[in-house]
Amino acid sequence: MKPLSRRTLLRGVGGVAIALPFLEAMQLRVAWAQAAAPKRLVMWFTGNGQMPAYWYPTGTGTNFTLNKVHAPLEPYKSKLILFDGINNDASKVPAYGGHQGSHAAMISGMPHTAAGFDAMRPTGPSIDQRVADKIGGATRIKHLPTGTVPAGSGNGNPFQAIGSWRGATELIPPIVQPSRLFDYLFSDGVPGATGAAAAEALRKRRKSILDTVMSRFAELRSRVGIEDKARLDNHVSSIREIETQVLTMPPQITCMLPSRPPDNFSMAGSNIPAWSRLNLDLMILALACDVTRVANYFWFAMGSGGVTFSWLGHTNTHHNLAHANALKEMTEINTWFSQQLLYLMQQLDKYTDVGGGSLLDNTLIMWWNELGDGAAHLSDRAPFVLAGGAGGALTMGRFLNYAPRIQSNQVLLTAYNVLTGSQDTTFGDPKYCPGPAPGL
Amino acid sequence: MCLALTLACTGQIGDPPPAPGSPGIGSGPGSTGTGVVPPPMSCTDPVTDVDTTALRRLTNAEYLNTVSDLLGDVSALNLDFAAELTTADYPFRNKAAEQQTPPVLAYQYLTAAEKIAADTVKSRLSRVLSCDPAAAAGELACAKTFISAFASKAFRRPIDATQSQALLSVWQVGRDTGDFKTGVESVIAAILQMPEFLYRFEMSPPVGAQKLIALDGWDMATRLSYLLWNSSPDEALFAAAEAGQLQTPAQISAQVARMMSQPRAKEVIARFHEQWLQVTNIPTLEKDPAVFPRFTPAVAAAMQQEVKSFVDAVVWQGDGKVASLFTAPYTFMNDVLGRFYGVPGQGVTFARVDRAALGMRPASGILTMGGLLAEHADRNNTSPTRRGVFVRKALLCEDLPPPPANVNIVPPVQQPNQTRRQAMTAHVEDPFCASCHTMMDPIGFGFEGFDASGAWRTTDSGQPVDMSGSIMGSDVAGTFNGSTELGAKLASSDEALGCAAAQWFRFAFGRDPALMTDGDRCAVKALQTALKEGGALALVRSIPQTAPFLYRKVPQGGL
Repeated sequence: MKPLSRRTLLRGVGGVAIALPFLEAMQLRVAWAQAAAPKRLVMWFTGNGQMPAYWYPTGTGTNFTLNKVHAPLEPYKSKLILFDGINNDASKVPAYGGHQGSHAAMISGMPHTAAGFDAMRPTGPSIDQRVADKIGGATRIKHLPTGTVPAGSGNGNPFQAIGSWRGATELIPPIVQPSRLFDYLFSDGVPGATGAAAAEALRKRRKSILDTVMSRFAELRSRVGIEDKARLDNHVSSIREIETQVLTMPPQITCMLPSRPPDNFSMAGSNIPAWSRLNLDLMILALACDVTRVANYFWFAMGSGGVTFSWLGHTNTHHNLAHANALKEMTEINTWFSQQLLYLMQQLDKYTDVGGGSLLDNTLIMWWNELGDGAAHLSDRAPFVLAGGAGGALTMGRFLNYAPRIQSNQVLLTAYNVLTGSQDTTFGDPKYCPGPAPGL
Repeated sequence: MCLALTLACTGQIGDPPPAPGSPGIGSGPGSTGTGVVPPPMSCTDPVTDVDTTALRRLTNAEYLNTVSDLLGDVSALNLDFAAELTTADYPFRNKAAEQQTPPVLAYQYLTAAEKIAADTVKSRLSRVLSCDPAAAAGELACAKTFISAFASKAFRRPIDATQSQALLSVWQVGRDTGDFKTGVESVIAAILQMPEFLYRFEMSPPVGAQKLIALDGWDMATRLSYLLWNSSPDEALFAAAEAGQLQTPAQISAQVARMMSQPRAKEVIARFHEQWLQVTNIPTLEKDPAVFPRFTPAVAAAMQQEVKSFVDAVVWQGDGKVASLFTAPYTFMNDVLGRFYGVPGQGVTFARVDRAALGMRPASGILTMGGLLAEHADRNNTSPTRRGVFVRKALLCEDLPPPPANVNIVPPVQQPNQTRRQAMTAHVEDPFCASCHTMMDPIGFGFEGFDASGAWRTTDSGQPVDMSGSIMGSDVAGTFNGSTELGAKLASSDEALGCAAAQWFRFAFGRDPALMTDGDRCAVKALQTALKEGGALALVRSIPQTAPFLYRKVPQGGL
């Protein structure tokens, strides 16, 4: 298809495209004339494991056949890398990780904290946080956490309902309500700011407020103990991060936006198809408008208290179906996720990026799932899929089947290096990372 | 099934589990064997040590209460903040050590502050502004007056010259971009993001070289108001603080008595019980509609109300004792809930009912409450394991290790014509699983008379329900039949009593008693005595008289 230009009027949400005055007034910050296209990362989490029989491809290298659940992705087969033979051994330290511990380890490469399942937490940052630390600073929003998480899913355990974190107590919750997501990305929730003068006045006031807030943190820091100092420092560094977001304006591009979604948009489990499509569209717009370069899409809380795919005719939860080894329903679920990924790829493919390629070719999508085998609750055969591209730094269109098996850390290391231009030799706990994934 | 060796519970497969408090349980990270940590020999000596009280940030609920006290109702703004972390080991949403502020939360604080400030200036400015900027004294004087009055209230202590000057410069920048009100809006937005507002810094000055510092009036007023009201101090507390009348035990208990008579104290005590019993979100529970068509949103909401009404009645009309929570023969219901429980004909509004008189068996307080049993169950089936873990962790404060490495924790699949209990028996018969699951499942079996939606049942898969259960390794070890006998056991348990006191300590201090010092343990002991003799209200009244509440400790590396 003929790529649309970045300057094309964007119609994503609700079909109505209207300009947001605040955006029009934004000053140029990122020079789009830069020589090389920037790289982006989209994390794509779907939980509760796979049915291995229908997940792993057959064949090898560039000569492979997609398995059942990936059939919808056939049109983009040349922009996929599928894997088998990856283990997540960090998830087994210090004890069997179940959903939570495997979740923590798979994208951090670090062991989880030792405690009961509902208390398991990561001990190091997730890969998207590390990538955002390196490349996120170039855009107004360093990292975008979003997704579709119905209220109450994950049994109220926050760690089951997030896919990004900086450490054991620093979980990054996804922004799931469409209107809040819209505000976060495109208007900062500023009521009534219209026109360039108002935006500049707001910027000045915010600057004075944040300067004062930070100076008070600096002053009060001396009063508290060592551990509390670390918490305050973390709060300050978070303010510094959002400072870019709220004080600088998106690049001067004719990025026409849809109207703001209504506050009462239904976030019921049964409305997930429409709700997730809306949030996906907003994430795609944020990438296309270069509001952010690192995004994390989280599909539902894993484990007990999960989602029921009622729109596929299911009456039992995803988690229960995984345990029951319900091959038919689990195949339907993961096929549906493939269809959503297809949509994301198609949309990104419509935008022409700097240098003439498509946005998709410069966006590495990392599909991950905490368990290789959902029924058996095992983290072995960690089901990574890479989609899109890394601006040519990865050869797409392959199936890599490792024997002997390698560690998930090695895939993380390679992805991290190609996205950030780093030459790191390890990722996460070095014990589980002898080097980049061979041949990747 | 449970496929791998589990050594964590017993050290050796097949051995009986160790007694609670012995090294096998309650040791290592996450250890919370709090109900059983003995206090020092004597708690009558002068206090020499309390734990370093971690810096507490306002919880999400405290933030919203505080803002509404300061600036009026902001519920229309639909503010939301990142969820707070809780676990079965620490069920309260206030653990200071885990209150981190990721960028998303900092962003939420910023946007909330701006929305609140704009809304206040637009709709309720006179509430916070006592001077007229058009008066002869001028805008600057009015701005100073406003800053001094409002910031002192928001920071819960008179502001100093540095703070005043900083806020005045914020006002000036705002003023320069608009008018007087724009400046005020900026000041409010700044204050709501400042550490003095978001955190509870304690500033009581040390006396000499003493590491333990008696609280000054301002710190005491703040501790009291967040303990008893979940919000900032009122005018009377500030006045008492300023007058130096929050120093003696009698002065403090007079304030406590006044504060306990306010509806907010009732809300706080209800909040404690909801979080302790982990029944905070009954209306969001998902139950399989094909299996439980009668578990409607109206029923779930009524179940939440039942827990609240019951706890209120036990605490405020009854004796408030732990034993009553576990054994009381009454509950509250309306017709929606009555029909769900099989006793139709109740009134439209909630009223107290005698379960036995309605022919409802069993009748033992919270342990027979539908909401609690629905909460501690899976979506489409009961979970004796989860219910057993709940009793062990929440009610007996014991630690249970996680399943060991490489164990497959797939719950047993229940075959047709097999009861849940029969399906779960594999856990107890397989020695690999048994060493841990004998600690949990046999307790949960006692609740099998309640299905996963909290409804009473007499059969499971066509067979009569077997409610015989047993507890290993506690001071009430032994067998029991059904919730009523379990309630009676817990009602007589010193471990359960000590656990309730330890849970109150967590709730009151925002930290885990695993870190407790002797002074802290003596405080738990005092709470336990108060709870045993005078019930929950006596316990709450006694909290402000304990050493960890009366003193702050200079933190290592701090002031």
